[in-house]
Amino acid sequence: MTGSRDRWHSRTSFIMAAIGSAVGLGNVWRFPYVAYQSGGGAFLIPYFIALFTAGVPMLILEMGLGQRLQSAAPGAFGAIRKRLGWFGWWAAGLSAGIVIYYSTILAWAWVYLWHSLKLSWSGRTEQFFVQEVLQRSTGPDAMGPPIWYLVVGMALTWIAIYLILRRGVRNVSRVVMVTVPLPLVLLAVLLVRGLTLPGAMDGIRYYLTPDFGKLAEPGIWLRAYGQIFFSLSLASGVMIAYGSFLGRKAEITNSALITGLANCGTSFFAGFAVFSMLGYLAQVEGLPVPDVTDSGTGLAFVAYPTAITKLPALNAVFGVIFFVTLLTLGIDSAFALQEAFTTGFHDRWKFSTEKLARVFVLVAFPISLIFTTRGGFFWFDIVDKWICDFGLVIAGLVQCFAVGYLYDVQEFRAYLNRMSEVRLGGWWVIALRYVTPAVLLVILAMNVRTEILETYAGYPRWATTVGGWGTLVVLAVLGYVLWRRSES
Amino acid sequence: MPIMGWIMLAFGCAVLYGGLGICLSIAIRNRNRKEPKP
Repeated sequence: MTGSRDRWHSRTSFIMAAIGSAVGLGNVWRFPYVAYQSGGGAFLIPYFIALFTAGVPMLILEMGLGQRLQSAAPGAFGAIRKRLGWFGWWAAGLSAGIVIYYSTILAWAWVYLWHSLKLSWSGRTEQFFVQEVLQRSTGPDAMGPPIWYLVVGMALTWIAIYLILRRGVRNVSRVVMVTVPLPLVLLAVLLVRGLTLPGAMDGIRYYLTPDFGKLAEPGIWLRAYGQIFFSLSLASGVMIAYGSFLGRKAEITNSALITGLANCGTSFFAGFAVFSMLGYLAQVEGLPVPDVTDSGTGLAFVAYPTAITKLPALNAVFGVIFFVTLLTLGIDSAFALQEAFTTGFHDRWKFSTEKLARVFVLVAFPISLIFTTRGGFFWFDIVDKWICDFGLVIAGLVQCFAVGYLYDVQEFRAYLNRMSEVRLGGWWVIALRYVTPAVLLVILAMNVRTEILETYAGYPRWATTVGGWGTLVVLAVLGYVLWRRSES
Repeated sequence: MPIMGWIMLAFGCAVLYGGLGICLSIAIRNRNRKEPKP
């Protein structure tokens, strides 16, 4: 494959891969909780507005830019303005940073998959996660050596990523035909099981009953935009890289709409699987639903596994189904992120896809071992917070500015409309130039303000400086070095 | 579940799955004409 550009097997495989990249763990462990906390069913209103005024326009921008310029983020932004090539490398570096810490969650899921066979967490779910799986220390300064079974889980994750990516996009085209529909089928199994349990409707009531009064709070609208922005794998260069593997005559607008709607449809669907099970757990424990509701790792590795142990039958089977769902949801987001970074190297230096996959995994695996130590959870939390809350938001802003103001966006719209199945109207330009940047600017300002006023989660300032700002600076330096090398 | 909960359920399904159905049907209708060649 050296020198030639890989192509998707078909349009279907491109759309499946884009959906696979967008649909990840956040659809299951974040959206349902955010919706429940932000007005229940009423949250759908700002959520849909955010989808059509920011999510889909950004998807069209990224897929279209990659397809038109036949290049990943570094080459695409370098083509808009030479100096923006640095930004392109930095954005691609963010995706490399994300996949390195994201692999930690998959390592935990592998460990839990093994323990599902005997439901090792039964009766002590939280203690099992914190003390036995993570062996969590007192803080980020107490790291200790890597924990062997997490290293095994991490190694399995990186081996899987290497095997999928070593033959490039053609292999990805085949893999996503399994890894995208499989978690949906498994979620459907979990939903059916959940809905047939007592108390399920109580959980769903909490999920869907609207509180329209919440819509008056600006924070709810920002949360909707944030949820859409992070859920669609935007600003990290993934969709630009994926778009670059499309042919010159490929349709973009409708494909972006399908990707956005499928991603949000999965989130909405997953909410029923989660809340039906939480409703059952609340009934069994004799607690109100809010007392058993959690998000993130607390939902995936504590609340949901607790509910699984309380099932009347086939507990181990449902444990296996749940963790296979998490693994299949996560793996295609992980290899998409790696692809976003390595495609830039292929574009510039024509390295083979196998070599790029191998070298990246050999470099990333040792770095990711930081997160398998006893203090690794804290570093994972800090790096995740800074890359998402600052890195991706800044990247999104620069991306909107670059295309909205430095590129001939009207001509770009006309270009997209030449092959589009759905006419792209002037609203797209307004969304890119004004709506999305304004919202991202407010989100960034609020994140900076919060960070100045209080240290995140009570971590020592040195830890957030090193793990948070330090990561962003290292990626900026790396981006600069790669940009200079690629220019020379 | 209160009636408003059911209404929001119908609203969510209509926008997401209805919208997805429309987009997919457009794509399927055009598949022979616009399928990108490998």
